[in-house]
Amino acid sequence: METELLAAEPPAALLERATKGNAEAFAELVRQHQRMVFSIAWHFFHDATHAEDLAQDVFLQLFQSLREIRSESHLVFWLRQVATRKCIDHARRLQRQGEPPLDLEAAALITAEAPPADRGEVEELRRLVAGLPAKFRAVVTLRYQEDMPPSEVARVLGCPINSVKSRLQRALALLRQRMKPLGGTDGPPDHDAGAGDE
Amino acid sequence: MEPIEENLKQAMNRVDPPDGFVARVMARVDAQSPAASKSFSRPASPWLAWWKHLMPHPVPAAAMVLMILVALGVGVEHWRRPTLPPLSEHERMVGEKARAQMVLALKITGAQLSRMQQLLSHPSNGRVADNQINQTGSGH
Repeated sequence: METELLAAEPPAALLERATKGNAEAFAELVRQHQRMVFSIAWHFFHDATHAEDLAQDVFLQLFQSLREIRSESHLVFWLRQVATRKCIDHARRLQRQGEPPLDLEAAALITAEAPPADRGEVEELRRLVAGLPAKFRAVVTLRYQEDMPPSEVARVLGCPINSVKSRLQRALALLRQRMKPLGGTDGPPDHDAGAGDE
Repeated sequence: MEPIEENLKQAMNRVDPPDGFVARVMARVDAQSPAASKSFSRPASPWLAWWKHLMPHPVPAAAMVLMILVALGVGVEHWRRPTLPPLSEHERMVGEKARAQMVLALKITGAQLSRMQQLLSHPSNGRVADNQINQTGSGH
């Protein structure tokens, strides 16, 4: 009952109460945004353990930074930005340590929600995305999971829009190339990965 | 949008975290800062609320506090230190003369102390030193 009341509360009021120290309000913020944050990390690593650790870190940092958040839209922007940056940093750390990047068993559990006929291709695509260079993974995740135009992706990542478009083009080219032996998608060469934006 | 992009949108849909995620986050929040988690439920002081209402932004509030402290410091210092009248020319000359006499007295004392040290450091000349000391002590 209380959870339903909290869920129905206007975002601005919820944010204000959380900032003032209300634990239930902060927990509701976590509840409302956990899917987005966890998904960014999960698609980045295709690993539930890494994804949960990173997602928890993001919300822990949010708890410490609540006073900086000005609005609901700013909160969403902040979460996307911090989650992506943490993913990039963690990917680099893993690379330096030489750890294997994928946990296919855990990934399979989460993939179970896809229709049976598509599971193979969907799963393969997710696996390939998790194998891209960290900066490419970041733009692909924000562009296709969050459905953000390249201009917004550039704002979140703090880089020029041309860099975002360039990385998207190269990421798609890599994915096309790697999916060819599976009989996967093989469309015409991409000329504008930023279609639909500006 | 190209087919691969359509497939990506489908593949990269949002997924749910494992059950209990929120509880685990809140547990880490509590574990990291027990004081902060206590303050979560403690109501803010009314004085603090009044101050925050008066000064919503920390920078001008800090600047005002600093100005008040500086003004207080200047006022206390002014009250504590009495204002001295400037010296006349006569007073200045008298002071200079007294200073010169003190310097001369210190020089004489220093010379006498040095002589005594020399005498004491040569015990074989003890009698002569005693005589000299007597002379020095009674001299003038």
